[in-house]
Amino acid sequence: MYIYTYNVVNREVLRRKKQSLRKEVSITEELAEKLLEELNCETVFTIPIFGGIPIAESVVVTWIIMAALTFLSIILVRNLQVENPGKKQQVLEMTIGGLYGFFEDLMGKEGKRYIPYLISVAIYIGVANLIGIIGFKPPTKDLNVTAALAFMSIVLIEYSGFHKKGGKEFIKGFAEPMALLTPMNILELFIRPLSLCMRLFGNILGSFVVMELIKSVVGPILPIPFTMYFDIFDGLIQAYVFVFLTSLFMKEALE
Amino acid sequence: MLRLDMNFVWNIVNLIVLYFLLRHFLIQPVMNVINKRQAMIEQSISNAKASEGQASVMKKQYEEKIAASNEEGAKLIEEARIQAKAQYDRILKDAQEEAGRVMSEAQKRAEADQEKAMREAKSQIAGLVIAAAAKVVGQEADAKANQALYDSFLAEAGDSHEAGSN
Repeated sequence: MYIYTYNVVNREVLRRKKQSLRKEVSITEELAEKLLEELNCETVFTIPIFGGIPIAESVVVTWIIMAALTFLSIILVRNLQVENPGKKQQVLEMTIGGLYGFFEDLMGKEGKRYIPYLISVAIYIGVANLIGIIGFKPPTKDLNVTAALAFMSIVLIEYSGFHKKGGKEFIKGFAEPMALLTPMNILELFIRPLSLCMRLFGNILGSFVVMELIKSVVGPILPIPFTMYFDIFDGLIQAYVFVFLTSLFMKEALE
Repeated sequence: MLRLDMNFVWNIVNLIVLYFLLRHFLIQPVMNVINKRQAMIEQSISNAKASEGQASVMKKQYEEKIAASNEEGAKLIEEARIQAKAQYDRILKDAQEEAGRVMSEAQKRAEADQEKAMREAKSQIAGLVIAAAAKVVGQEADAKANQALYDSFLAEAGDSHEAGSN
């Protein structure tokens, strides 16, 4: 009797446990599905030539960013005055002049010709990382974007060295400080852009995932401090780190 | 999620285009303004320095001029003083000489006048004496005796006159 009762009760408990477990599994699955959907970089449209060229969301968002930045620049740059600059102009000059001074301090006079590119990249990555706030998917969450950025960086780094030293010296530079390290130097050609690319991608993807999780778990107001950190702070830090490292490598190449 | 395809190329194109756009519309205009201002500030500083240098040179010149004119003024005053002194001395000497001359002349004239008066008086007295003597002695007395007589008279009279005047 006792045993029977026990069995019945036990069975009931087990059934209930299983039920609740299934429920939990379905919630996690739902969350995962949602996350995956958010994470996927969808192809927005396909250009119907050469058998269809897919255009990813990141490319479209980048176009939007480009258009916005260009439009904003044209508006901000109007009526610049050498004497008696207005408040708007002072802020603009402080920003651009500050970025310019930052890169100039890092790379010196020889790196001057690469500064506009670095400023552009800094602005682009900064905006791209922050654009998640206004509802777009950050383009830097797409590996294609960070890979393109890193590829451009390494090309520019090596080109700056090539331009400064000339072909022969540039090739010789791979055997420095000693011939034994040549394989390392050649490996660096791939490691540097890979680390640049993956650092940016990983950080933005990670903060995006964390933010999506937080948003789906807690209410509407609570994610604000997390957004401050993961979206704004981390996004800007990553933009800074990317251009800082690029300019640092460039300075090394220029030496 | 982890896909690498043609979009890589599009993104590179995007980056390059963005670079040109930002360089042309944002960085170049702003940096131009900043550089222009920098150049203007440097120019005004160098201008200020140049004018400062000029001013100091001019000040030095003026100071030299003032010093020179002071010296010249002092010299002129000294010269004038010396000249004035010389003139004063000369005038004083002239005046003294003149005065001496006038005095001596006056003295001489006075002496001459006195002598002349004396002589006139003498001759008048002699005439008087002669007349008186002629009255006393009469017409017969010879000329020689007459002469002797009034000479002796004159001598006596002159002595008495001299004694009286002194």
